[in-house]
Order: sequence, then C-alpha cells, then structure tokens
Amino acid sequence: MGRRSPGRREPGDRIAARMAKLNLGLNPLMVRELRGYMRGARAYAVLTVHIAIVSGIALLLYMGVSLANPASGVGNSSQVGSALFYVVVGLQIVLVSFVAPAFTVSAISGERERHTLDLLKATLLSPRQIVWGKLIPVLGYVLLLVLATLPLFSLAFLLGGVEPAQFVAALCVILASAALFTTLGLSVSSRARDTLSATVVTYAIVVGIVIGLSVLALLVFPALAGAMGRAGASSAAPALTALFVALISLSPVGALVTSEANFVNTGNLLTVTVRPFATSPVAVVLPAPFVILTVCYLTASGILLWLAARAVRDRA
Amino acid sequence: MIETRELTKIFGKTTAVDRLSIQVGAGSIFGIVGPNGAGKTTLMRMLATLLPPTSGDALVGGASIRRHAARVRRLVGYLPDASGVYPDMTVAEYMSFFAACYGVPASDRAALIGDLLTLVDLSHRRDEPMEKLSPGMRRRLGLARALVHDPHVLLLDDATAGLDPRARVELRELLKELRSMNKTIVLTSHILAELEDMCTHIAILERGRILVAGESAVIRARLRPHRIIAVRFFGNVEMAVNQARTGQGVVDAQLVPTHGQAMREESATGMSEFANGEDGMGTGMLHALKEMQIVFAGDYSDATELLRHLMRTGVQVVSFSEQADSLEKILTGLNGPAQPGPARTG
Repeated sequence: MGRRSPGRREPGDRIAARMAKLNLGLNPLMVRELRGYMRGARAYAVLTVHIAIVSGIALLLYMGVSLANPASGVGNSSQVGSALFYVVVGLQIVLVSFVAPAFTVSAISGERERHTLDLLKATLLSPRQIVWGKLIPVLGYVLLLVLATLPLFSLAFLLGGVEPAQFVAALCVILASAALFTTLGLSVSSRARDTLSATVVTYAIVVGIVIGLSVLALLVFPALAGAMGRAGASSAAPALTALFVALISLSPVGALVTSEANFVNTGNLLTVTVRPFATSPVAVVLPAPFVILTVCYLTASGILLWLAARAVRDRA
Repeated sequence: MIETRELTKIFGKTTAVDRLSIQVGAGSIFGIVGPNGAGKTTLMRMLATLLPPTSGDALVGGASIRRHAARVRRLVGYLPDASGVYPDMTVAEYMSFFAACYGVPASDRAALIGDLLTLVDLSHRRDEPMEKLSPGMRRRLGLARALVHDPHVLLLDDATAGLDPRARVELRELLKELRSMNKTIVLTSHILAELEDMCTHIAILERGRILVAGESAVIRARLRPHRIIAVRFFGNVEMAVNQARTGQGVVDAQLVPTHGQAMREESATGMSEFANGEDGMGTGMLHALKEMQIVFAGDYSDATELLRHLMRTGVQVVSFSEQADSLEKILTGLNGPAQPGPARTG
C-alpha cells in the first residue's frame, strides 16, 4: 500500500488499512470505493451540509410555531413534533431520490470512460462483485446521511405526535427508495456509453417515479373515479381502486402520505381499506402503500442489480 | 501455450475475427501486425476473456476461454491499448488494488509491488498520484499491473502506442527480460517495423484472417522485397536515382512526382502563373525538394549503408524513412487466400 505521512492520513484511510490488514476476503473494489468516498473533506462536507440544512429547516419550523403561539411558548408540542417528523422524512426522501443516484450514475460509465472497466473485468472479480463493490459503499454512505438525522427524529418523538410505527413505515420507504434509486443509477450506468447520458436517463426515470406517479395518482385517478361514479360504472370500482393504490404505492411521497394518514385515521399500519366511491358498497382491503412500495422497490432493486451485472459482463 | 481453434467473432454484419487458428509456443514473443480494423484488439479481448467468441474456441495453458474464464484470467496478464488509471490513487495503491483483485495475499503484496516497480523503473514514483505520470510511465505501470499476479501469458495490445523511441527501446529490453522468465508474450501493432526486432514470431492479420505467420526472421525475409523507403532530397534527380539503384539491397528506385515538381513542369510549359514564388512561401525551395521511393530488400545495416552511400555521392538527403503505410502495401502484395491450416509458432 502507498505509505503516506501519518499527518496526511484520513480516517477513511485508517479504516481501510485496518480492514486490509484483517484480510477478511473483502471485495477490493468495495474497499477502494469506500476509501474514495471517505478520503478527503468531501464526504464530511456533504454530511455537514446535509445535517445543517435539515436542522436549519427543523429550527425554522420550531421557531415559526413558537412565534405563532406566544402564549404557550411552543404551542401544541404534538403538532410541532408531527410537523418536524414529516419535514425530516420529506427531506430524507428528497435526499435518497435525487442525491443518492448521483453517486451511482458514474459508477460503471466512469470506469468505461477512464478505460479501467476492462482492467477490472480482466481480474478475478466477477461482474457481480464489480456491481456490489460499487453499490455497497454508496448505500453505506447514504445510510450514514440518513442515520445522521436520527437525533431530529428523536426530537420529534420527544415533542410527541409521532408513533414508533410511523417511524418504521417512514424508514422502510426511505431505505427502499435508497436501494431502488442507487441500483437504478448503477444499472443505467452499466449500459450507458457515458456518464452524461446515464445521468439524464436516470433522473428522467426518478422524476417520473417520484413526481409523475404521485401526480397521476392524486390528480388523474380521482377525476377518473369521479367521472365513473357519476356515470354509475361501479362494477369497475375494485379494479380502479387497486390500480390507484398500486400507483400511489409506487411513489415514495404518495405511499408515505397515504400510509401515515391511514395509520392516524384507523390505527392500522399494515393494511388499508379503500372504498372507491362514497356510496359504493365495495370495500377493498389491501396492504398499506408503504408495504407495497418496500416489496416492489426491493424486488426491482434485485432485478436492476442482476441487469447491471449482465451489462458489465456483456458490454464493452 | 495458446491455441486458437477456428476462433470467430462477428459484430452485426462485420466479421472481426474469421476462423482464426494459431498456436503460440511457450516462451515466445508473438507479434500480431495488421492495419486498423484487422481484428487485433478483438482477438486480444477474446483471449483475455473480455469478449465471448461467436464460434470456435481458444485454449490458454489448456484452459478454454469459453468454459474456464477464471482459470484463463489467472494465467493471463492483459494490457489494453488504452490502459486507464485512477487519478486519485498513488502508483503503489494502484498496484496494490489490482494485486488484491487478482487474489494476491496481502502479506506478499508490498514486496511484489516493489519488485515490479523496480522492473519497470517506477520505484521512485511509487507514492506519487497517477495523474502526474507521463503517458510512457503509465504504459510501463500498465505493464507492471499486468504482471501483478505473475501470469504465464502477457497480452499487450498496441504495446508501443504513445511511446517515444527511447521508451520503445526500454520496452524491447523489458520484453526480452520477461521472455527470459519464460513468459509467453503476445503483442500487437499496426506497424511492422515496431515489432519485427522484438518478436520471435510474427503473424500478419487482415480482415480477421492470418495472411502469413511464422518465425520473425522468415517473415522479415519474405516481406523485405516489399519494403518502401522514402527519400526526400535536394540536387540532381537522375544522379540521385541512379546512385540509389546501385545501393546494396535496393531492388528499384523511382522518382515520386511531388506538388513542387508538378508546378515546375507546368511553369516550364507556361501553364502556371504561380510557379515563381507568388505564394510567398519559398516556392523555389519547394520546387527543389524531390522525393524518391526505393524498393528495398536489405536489412537495417544495409539501409544505414544506403543512406551513407547517397550522402557520399552528393545527394543532399533531407529525410530517409521507411513508409509508415508500407504494411498496407505489403498486405496488398500478400492478399491472397489466407493460410488454410493453423499458423504454428514456437
């Protein structure tokens, strides 16, 4: 290993060096990528900025509520806690949706552009190891960003208005979204000629999923259901409802909002009971949107990883 | 050590490698020469198990590139034509990373990397970032990387690309040293002259097929009558051509009509208004510069002697070089049916 002067060694270097000494059969590409992420100031700067933004927004929210209720000082603390929770969760979803893919869109295409992909493929690393070696460090770093905001979640619990079950649902959505969007970036990167085209394609799909599906579910389907209800086409209601739940469940924001609302209203975390029309006698019991999202996203992540490994194997 | 059997690679409608059968003996330096698009890189990538063949197979140390890719990778060190680097890594980190990728035990890496960097004369750069290395140094580092798992076979694609003359001499010496370690080396180039004094065996590849293959000396002798030396000079044309024709190894010498000469001829017949220097670029000098092509069958010492001979007899030689595109001309001459049987070497 290259010996640097002790004063120049970064914490990431020390960890990687200790891991290398242990010689646990770790994927060398994973160790290299981890070292790349943690070497230098960038990783720590991103982490600091992330915590500062989330904390700043939380502080503004707290101050806003306090000023609006000067008599009681902090107003209704459960309202503040609830608002704080949703703001932090919302920011985490934005983070994993739009920041996490940025770490993987260049993972394979960058190797291709640097002419190092063939060098890796010529070693004893399998395509699957190459893909995992790229993914795990990114997931680890995104997880670190998510966990760094845990104190804000604890503040929300302290203020009240949030149940642990809500936190579990939110964490499922955040982590499943992180898995999907990082593997999406990796998969597109493995097939793209260059990083720019990988970035464009990945973000087009991410925007489609995060925003497009929510818009489609929240605007188009209610309108369609209303039109059908007025037309008396109630026989199509169960199918339409299932489609609506499926669509809303595939959007992180939609899944989380509907799941949390369902829990607050019914106390039921894992299932939702939906009546398509107010007058409809049909009630459909379905898994809660966040459950559907978690299962679908993790399955899709597995498929995308498999496709990425195939692309690494087959494409020059 | 390497045997290809009817190895074929087809991309869409293009056959990059066409039923190629060659045998490369252990401990030989096998040069594959061919113009751009001949299929050299495709062949090397297939031998390195980076590209699956469309049909046929190749055995490296008895292991099939189709069925035993991992075994082949243990046996092969591959240096592609564009060997990439990680700018954020130091030279030693880069070597250590690839040693780990090839499963070299951590305890052996430091000594191994030290030895390899000494071999390629980069030990003084071991702690420098790779982005600070010159292209020649990167090439040498690539060679060290290809050797990091002590492979029996080295595949060097366009090995001399981007190297200056001194670096080429160093590479030649390095390859000789590796051969003395009983490594089998396969390297490619599109310039015959770059390989012919490095290799024990040479094959000429065109459109995915071997046109000719064999021991380097035999191939050289076979190709030698076709080599073209271009000489640019000032002075008496007839005298220069006649003197060239008397040189050792010279088959023929012909004056090449140049732009300047054509203008002078036009001027003499009153057809050009611009032959007397109106272009302001020293047309007179341009007119005086001549070029002849010498069809040459001699070796390098004959070529040196021919140059001395021309200068002794008063020909003012400006440049004297083997034409870079002479391989294409050679190929035109050889362009009969490819050899039906496997090309054996070693």
